[in-house]
Amino acid sequence: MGDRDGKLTDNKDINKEKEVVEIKEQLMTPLPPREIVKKLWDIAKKYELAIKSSEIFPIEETEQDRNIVNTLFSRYADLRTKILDARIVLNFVTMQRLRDIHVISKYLDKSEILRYIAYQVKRRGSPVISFPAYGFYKHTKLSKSSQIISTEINESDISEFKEKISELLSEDLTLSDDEVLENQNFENLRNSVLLKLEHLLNRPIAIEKLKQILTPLELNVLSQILRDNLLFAYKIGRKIIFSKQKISKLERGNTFYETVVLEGEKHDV
Amino acid sequence: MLLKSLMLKNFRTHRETLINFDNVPILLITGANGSGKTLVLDALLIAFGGLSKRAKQMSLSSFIGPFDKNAKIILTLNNPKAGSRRILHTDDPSLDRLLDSDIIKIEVTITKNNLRSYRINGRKTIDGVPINSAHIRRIFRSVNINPDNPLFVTEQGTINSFESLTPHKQFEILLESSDLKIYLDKLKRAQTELEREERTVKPLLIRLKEEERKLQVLKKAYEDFKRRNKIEKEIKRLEIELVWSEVEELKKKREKLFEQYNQKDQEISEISSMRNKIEMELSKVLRDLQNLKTEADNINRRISEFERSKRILEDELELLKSSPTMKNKNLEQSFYDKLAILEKEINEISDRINQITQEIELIDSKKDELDEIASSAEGILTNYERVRLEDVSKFLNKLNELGVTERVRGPLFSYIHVKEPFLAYSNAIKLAFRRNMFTFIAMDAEAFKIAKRIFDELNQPEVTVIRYDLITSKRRMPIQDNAIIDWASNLIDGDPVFVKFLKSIDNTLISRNDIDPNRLAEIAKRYNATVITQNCKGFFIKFGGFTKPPRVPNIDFGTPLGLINIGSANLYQEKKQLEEKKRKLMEEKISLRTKLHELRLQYQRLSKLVQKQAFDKHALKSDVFSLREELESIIEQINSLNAKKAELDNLRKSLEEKQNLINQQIGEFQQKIKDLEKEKQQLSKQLEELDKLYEEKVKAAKEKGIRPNKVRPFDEIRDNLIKLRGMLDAIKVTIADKERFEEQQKVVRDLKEYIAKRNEHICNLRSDLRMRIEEWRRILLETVSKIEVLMNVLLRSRFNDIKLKLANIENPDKTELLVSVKVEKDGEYRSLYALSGGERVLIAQSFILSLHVLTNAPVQIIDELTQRLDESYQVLAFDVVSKAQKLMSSTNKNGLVAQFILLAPALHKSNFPDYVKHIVFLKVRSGDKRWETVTAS
Repeated sequence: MGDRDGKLTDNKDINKEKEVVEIKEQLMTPLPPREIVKKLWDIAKKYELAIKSSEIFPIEETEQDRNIVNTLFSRYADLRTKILDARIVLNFVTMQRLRDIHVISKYLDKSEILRYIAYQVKRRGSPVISFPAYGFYKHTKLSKSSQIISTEINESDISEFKEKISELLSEDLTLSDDEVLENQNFENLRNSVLLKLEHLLNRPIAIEKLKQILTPLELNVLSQILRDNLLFAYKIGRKIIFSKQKISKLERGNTFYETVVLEGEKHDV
Repeated sequence: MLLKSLMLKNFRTHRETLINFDNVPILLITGANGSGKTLVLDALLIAFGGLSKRAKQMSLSSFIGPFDKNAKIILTLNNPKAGSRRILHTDDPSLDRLLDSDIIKIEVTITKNNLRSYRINGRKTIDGVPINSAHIRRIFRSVNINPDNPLFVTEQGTINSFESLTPHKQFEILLESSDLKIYLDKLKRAQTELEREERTVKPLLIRLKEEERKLQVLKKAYEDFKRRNKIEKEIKRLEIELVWSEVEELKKKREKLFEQYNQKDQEISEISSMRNKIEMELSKVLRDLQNLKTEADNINRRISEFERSKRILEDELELLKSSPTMKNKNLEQSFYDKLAILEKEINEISDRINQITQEIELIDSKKDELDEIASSAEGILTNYERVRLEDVSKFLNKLNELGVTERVRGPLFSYIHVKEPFLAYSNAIKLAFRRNMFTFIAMDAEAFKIAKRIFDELNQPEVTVIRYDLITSKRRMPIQDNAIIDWASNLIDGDPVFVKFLKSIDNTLISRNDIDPNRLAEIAKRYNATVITQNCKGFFIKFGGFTKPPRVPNIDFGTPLGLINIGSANLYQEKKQLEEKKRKLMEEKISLRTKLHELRLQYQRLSKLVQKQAFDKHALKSDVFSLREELESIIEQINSLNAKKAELDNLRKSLEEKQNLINQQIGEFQQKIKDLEKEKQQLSKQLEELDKLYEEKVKAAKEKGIRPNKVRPFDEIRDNLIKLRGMLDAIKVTIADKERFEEQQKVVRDLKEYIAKRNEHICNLRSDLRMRIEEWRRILLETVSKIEVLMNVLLRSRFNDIKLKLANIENPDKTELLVSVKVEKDGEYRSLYALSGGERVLIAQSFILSLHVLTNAPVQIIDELTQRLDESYQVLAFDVVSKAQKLMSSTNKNGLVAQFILLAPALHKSNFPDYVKHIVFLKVRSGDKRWETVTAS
């Protein structure tokens, strides 16, 4: 296990303290979020690498790094930076754990280490049986909950947000119900589509021509027709053959289903 | 809008279906059951990185249609920029790079082996890792699309199940859908961990107790150790005191011994002083004796002196009486005669000397005259010149005798002279021709022959003879240098024969004085000639250097010949004769002087002897008289001295007796001193040993420790020490016990400190967690309040008031979401369960849509929208959706227009506003390519 809990050099102490002071000074002036993130990344990487290689930093050094992170804390721009910050705090804790283990193991003599290992083996060797279970939540309990907290944390905090949102949506986009297709019209629509395709059956037609014949809504209906096998479609190159029956000649050989994408074009009604 | 299009390939019944979502806020898909509507929902969820409920229940491969091997979903998305980032983004830079595009295409391939692979804009991997559903989920999290959210897609039965759930389950759905559950889970986990952690303090405290117990056990040993330490310290202190006590005792012993030693010393000094006193007395006696002796010796000596004097006087007296002076008178006369002879002889010699002196003076004056004559004729000649001149003179005499002086001319110096303007350079010119001064020139061969014969007859004198016809003319180049006067031969004039001769041999340049020697050396070298300066001090040779100049000849050019040559030779001879005569006279003079000197000495001695003879005679007479007087006085003194001597003898004897007595006393004293010295020596030896021992002890004691202020007697200390050592032996603890105790003390201290710190830390974490749980509650209440507001807005045409309440909020495990609705104005609030089926569906729908408005997701999919709704409620349901879509579009933080995909089997509504796109799915028979070919034929 690497041991860095020897004394920090005076220079390093001075540099660290200087860094803390610098960051505090920078706080007075705007510090770009990227710089903050970079600083945090440096510290996170430093600790993660050290933890990986079991390198121990002295408490003083971690305290200085902690000071830097705490100084930056109030400047975090987004949640991602805060997550990175939490990761660093976790690293500090892990480092302290490593440090404690290192200190304890340093003072243990061989017989004590052996005794400790034996204890761990015994403890971990004992079988533990657990039965995971899933508890269903009873809705009725909800209303009785006494710990419900209103989300109205601070109206003034989100009042600005509220104003902005309302302003953005001053214009109501609600569509008219007139445009909604009546359910009973669907049958009519299907029939109309079948009728439109009647004279095009059993002969190849260009895919692009379909867009001219059918509206987007009708194309959607066509998709339903094909799914319901009311018509059969065979695509050869950039052309499609529609048929009321399966064409046995085309059913032979390696046949697959293929998606044909048709962009609906607006038609004058 | 986020969604652009969806392509399904071989996705169950969809061979290749493209659904275009672009600018479609509400897409309505209708078609008969089984026409493949819900497959669109399945495909979208897979494309978002999730799975629908039914997809989770069956294998993925069941989505693969009959038209191909694999099924494929291609979802195309708009990804505009919102600020600096794309709407779709992640924190992963690699993934973000892939998303940096206006259009994002997510392609999912489903294979037979139940695998799905993703591609984003054609890329299969990110940093070498295949793109997976987690990557895709991360992408959609950025726009709040979370396929894991149970309410993200309102699948078949969702609404049915929601409205029939218990209030707690509904609360849980609320939490799950709003991410509050994740937040709560994390907090709850942290709380659980923290509670566990709080319990961990127990083992820590047990540990602390155990460590404290250990400390107590060790404490007794530590106390013993401290006691032992104290005793050890006391023992150490006593040991030091003991050593110092020994030192003190030695010191006392030493002092006592030293006292004895001093006593002896004092005794010795007393005796010594007594002895000294006697010795002084003795020395006085001895001195007196010595004085007596000296006096006696003096007297003896004087007596003996007087005796000798007496004898001498007596001898002298006898001698005087028998002296010849006193006897022989003839001797005196002979002395006077001899003196007269000597005086005469001296006078004669003196005269002769005077005579010789006069003669010498005469000779000198004559010689001076001769010198004067010679010097005026030939100057001061060197011997060499003189010899040569003599030879020339002899040669010339011979030529003269034969009468050929005109045919054999010479010597040269007589025939030439220096030109008038160059007289100042005479010496330099002489130096130039110094070797040819005595040259003769034979004018013809006959004359030359005669000259040779004479030369041989005269035994080859120092002359040179040149045959005239053999002299060759030589032309000298003019000199263009102001340092040089000219060639030497150009500065002379005279007999043309000799001038020609000199010009033929001339090799010398005459220069001015004070010219740079380097320059003159260069000239000498240049003209291959010797350069001589005017003053003859510079002599530069033709090799380009200088050397010592030869001596300048004394004979001048143009000096007259005949007279000088002959006269000079005679004078010389005469001078020589005079000098010889003078030498002989000088010799005679010297011998006469010597003889004169001897005679004078003889005379002086003899005259002195004569004088002394006379004096001695007179003196002897008076001496005899005085000697006799003296002799008498001496005899008298001798007698008196002898009397004194006897007196001194007596005194000496008494002194000697005294001396013996003193010596005896001294002997006694010395013996006593000797004994005392011996004792003293023994004491000193003892002291010395004691000192040594003392020093050793002090040294040892110092090493042991500093001397205590108070040192008790040795025995007392020793007893204490034995007692303490006994006590120490009884305590059986070691330093290890102390260290163990201190270690344990530290362990306990550290542990206590740690526990205190961790407790504080945990306390802090607990308060942090409490703060966050409060925050969670706040968000929860805010969310519920907002949902309540939204639900009221969405359903205001149907219900007067909808109220949401939370029960047991303190315990999230039991919290319930309670919905109560006021249907009519002034009517009572009814619970959800008291409403009709259609009303419950509408309430559930509006609740779900309100949540979506709050989660801010831009895409909503609702399956079976119209299920269980009659025609009028169907219209209301569309109305609610439209309102929700508007609200969501307005509140989206990325400015995205919300998109709704509504699936409905049947439709009772024919007309929709423009923002509703309606597509119809038909299910037809089809086949593969082969089937199509066959059927077509």
